[in-house]
Amino acid sequence: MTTRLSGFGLGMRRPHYAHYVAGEAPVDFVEVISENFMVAGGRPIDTLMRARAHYPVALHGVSLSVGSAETRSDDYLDRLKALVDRIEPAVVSDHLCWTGIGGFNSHDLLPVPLTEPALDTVCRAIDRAQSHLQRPMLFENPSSYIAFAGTMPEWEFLSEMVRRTGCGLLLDVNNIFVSATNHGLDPHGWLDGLPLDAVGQIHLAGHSQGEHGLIDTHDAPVDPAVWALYTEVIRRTGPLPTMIERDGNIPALDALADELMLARQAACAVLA
Amino acid sequence: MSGDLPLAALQQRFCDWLIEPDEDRARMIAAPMGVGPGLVVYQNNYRVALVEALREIHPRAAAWLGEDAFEMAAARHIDAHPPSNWTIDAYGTGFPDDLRASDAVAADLAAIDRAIGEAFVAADALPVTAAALADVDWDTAAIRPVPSLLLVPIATNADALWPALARDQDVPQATAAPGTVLVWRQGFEPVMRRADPTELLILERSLAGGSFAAICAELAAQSDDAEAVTRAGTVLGRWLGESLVAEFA
Ligand SMILES: [Fe+2]
Repeated sequence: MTTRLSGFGLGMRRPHYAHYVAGEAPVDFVEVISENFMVAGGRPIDTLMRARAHYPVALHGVSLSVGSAETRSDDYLDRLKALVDRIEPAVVSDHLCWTGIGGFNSHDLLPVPLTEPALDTVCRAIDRAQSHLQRPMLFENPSSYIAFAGTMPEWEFLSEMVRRTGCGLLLDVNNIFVSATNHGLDPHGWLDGLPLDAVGQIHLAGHSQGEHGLIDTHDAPVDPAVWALYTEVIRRTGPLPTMIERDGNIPALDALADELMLARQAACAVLA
Repeated sequence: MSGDLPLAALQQRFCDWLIEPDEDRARMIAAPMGVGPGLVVYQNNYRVALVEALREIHPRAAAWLGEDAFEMAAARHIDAHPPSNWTIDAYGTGFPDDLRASDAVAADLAAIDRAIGEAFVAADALPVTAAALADVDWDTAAIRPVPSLLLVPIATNADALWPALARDQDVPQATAAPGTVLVWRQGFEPVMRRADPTELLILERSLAGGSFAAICAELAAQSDDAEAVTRAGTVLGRWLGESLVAEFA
């Protein structure tokens, strides 16, 4: 899927705000967590507007909860729309997940059972969000730690979701690696089933080894195996807007820029 | 097979288990799902994110309590108050009150922390300057404070401890000192200070829609003190200097 995003970016995080506001971060775009800016006023909005003057912005949400049997409130969608109108982002995204039900919100990206009824629910929620925002969105494949019995493979679910709603995919290559490893599947084989034409943006991030498998922690550099998988993705798709997410043990911006250089090199190598 | 269980029922079970994990519930979820041991990762993610949110929203209370006491208080709060808002920044509205039974200073610090955080992202407003006073119709004008203003009742001298904790300086001795702290934003910077009784009265009347003239009349009637009205003028002047007034309505 073609978006107004291109090149190589980073998740804009607080320790580096000054660099982005000054326009001196070596990135082609930035991504922020939408909910952090769905506020009435104050410095956060001002910071984002200033960064926006230098870089295209991707708005990445964590609370739309398209996989919940309970629909998200209009209030949430209204606030998101207000932010979208203000920032005019290049991309608006969220996750294939659910966050709660019955008035409870876990603030975690919970796993959707990949069934036909759940697919109906997800597609209805995506249709509603896209028509509320009057634009297509991207949805990200999550890291998962459990697999539901008797359900379809995630690539099949995502393909159908894309076909029915016209949404794009935010392909998180680390999440593929984490989920595939946790469920004993081949991450490269995972790619075969995905509708790669629909990918509008790529996430890279670090994970860690937990007691029960890999965990998507965003607190370490991107793993070599994930770099290899990324190279395989862009070999199949051609260059796509790519960024690194880092939320824990956040290093200096220069270190992240150096890491992002690896993505630039991988893209160059594929094009050569 | 999860397909046998309606999505809403499965999700309700999952949430019940997140809120109150026990073996039976985990089995109830696991049975229809055929899930592996990774289920516990969600339990951990849920709790860690909420503890971190409480810490980020109440940094001075956390510093005052120390790591162990804070984590215990956070765990108790999470068990008793599962989150319901779409934004994690709103989590823990009852956390200061939860702390009050065991540590009034921590409760007051937490209440100030929260108010500072709310003021930080409150609606923007251009404060009124002294120059605008000439156009005000004083017979009817009511003071409208900036939208970021919050009144925080406290029981201790937490307002003196808070800046010391924020700057990592020597913390003064904690004492009982009931009062009200004003928290608001000057430009992008949240500020706070203890209110004196006269200004608190003016503020409360103003927030209720009372005109400045009526408040002055009340102050004059209330005390034999001829200075009362003068003091009200002084308060207003101070507020203008502190960017606390949004308009005269
Ligand atoms: Fe991601």
